[in-house]
Amino acid sequence: MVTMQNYDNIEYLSETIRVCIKRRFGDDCEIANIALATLGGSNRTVLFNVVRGSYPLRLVLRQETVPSEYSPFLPSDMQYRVLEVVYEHGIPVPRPLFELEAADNLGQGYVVTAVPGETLPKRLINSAEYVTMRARFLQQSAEILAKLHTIDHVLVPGLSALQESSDPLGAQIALYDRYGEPHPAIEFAFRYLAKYEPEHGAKNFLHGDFRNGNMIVGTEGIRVLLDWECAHTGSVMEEIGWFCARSWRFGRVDLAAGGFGDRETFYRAYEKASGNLVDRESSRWWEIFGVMRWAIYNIMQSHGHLSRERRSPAFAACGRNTGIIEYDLLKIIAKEFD
Amino acid sequence: MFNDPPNASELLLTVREYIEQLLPDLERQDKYHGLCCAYLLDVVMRELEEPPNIGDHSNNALKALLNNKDELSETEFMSSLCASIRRGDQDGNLDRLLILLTSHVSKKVRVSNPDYLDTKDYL
Repeated sequence: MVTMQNYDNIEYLSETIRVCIKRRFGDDCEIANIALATLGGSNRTVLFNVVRGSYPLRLVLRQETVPSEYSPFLPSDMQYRVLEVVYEHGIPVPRPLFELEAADNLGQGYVVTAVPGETLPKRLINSAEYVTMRARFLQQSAEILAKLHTIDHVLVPGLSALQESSDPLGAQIALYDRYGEPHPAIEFAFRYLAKYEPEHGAKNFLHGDFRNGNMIVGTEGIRVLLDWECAHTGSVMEEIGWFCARSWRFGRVDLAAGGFGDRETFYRAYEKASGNLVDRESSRWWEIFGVMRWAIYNIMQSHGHLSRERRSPAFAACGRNTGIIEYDLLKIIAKEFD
Repeated sequence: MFNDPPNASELLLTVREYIEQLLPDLERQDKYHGLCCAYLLDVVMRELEEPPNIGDHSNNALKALLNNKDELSETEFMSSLCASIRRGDQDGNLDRLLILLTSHVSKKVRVSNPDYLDTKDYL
């Protein structure tokens, strides 16, 4: 039987992945250098080499952890379809290779190519190696988003039917309500956001979690975008506001656009790349929405820890991080924080 | 109940110091979780040291908003306040509520990350 305990056992994982790979690549290949990456919100990430002859191929297994009725994330088959579609449209993503099948005995998930590089946001923002690259990251972010937003979302069946797509505020309220924790600051934000909600206009294909931390970069620029489990449809201002939310500045609060630069530079780069105007007021509303959403995601991670679905010190810390995000939220609404 | 020393704070500090010693030798993933553990111990130490009446003023003011005369537990009171905000009962009080909630949240941040607070919210 496939259990969380089995997944955490590196020997069990190695053997199961070996069988899974040999089913597809043949008996003459071997598996080596298996490693668990940081546990993400919904997917376990396992890196491994496929060795055939002298040239190893580094791959990544993205494995759904215990599927939860509380999870706001796309099921892995939809994630895989999203990856296929954006890859075909030239968005930089790890190349999708195959989806897991029942015979793999690895649960739900898929395998993509591994991409070397840096993902740690603080290093991207603060290390000397990347400090001169911030402007490039900002420009590339605008260009990639502009391109992504032109993809026809109908290519991913079900994407526009998600509650995140049809009723974004209602989706967050529903998610928050599932955890049964009273957070008056978040309730206040719901009320504030409902009162000032702008018209959202056309619905576009959105990454849903496009930010510093969900990309692999090198010293030449952004290599690939990761973590597509929040993809949905919506106003492009949602994506622009999320990218500029205060939570991704990692100590550099002056660098409002993703910790890479100022808002106006990012807005203009997006306008130039997309040919569409950025609605500044709407984007600011989405920034507040984004900080509220991030607070709820921290409650979700803490809940995952307390329910023993996904135990980790990081998820326990998320519970106590929620108040810090609420503090940002209220200070932004009060216009004391930018 | 009387316990022999070390007291709870000293015990936590002992564990924290040991984690600190381990951190330089840990690899990326373990180091990250080690740092999280050190942070969690800091939170617990601050929580043990926090005077229990800090923030009572804002809590009492929030209770006054609800005309709360019942003896509700802290969780029951927070749930009632949330329901009241959700129903729109506080829509006429939003400016005042924002100030009181900032004070309420500041109390949590004083425990989770006091360095994050604006000076005026610290006191």
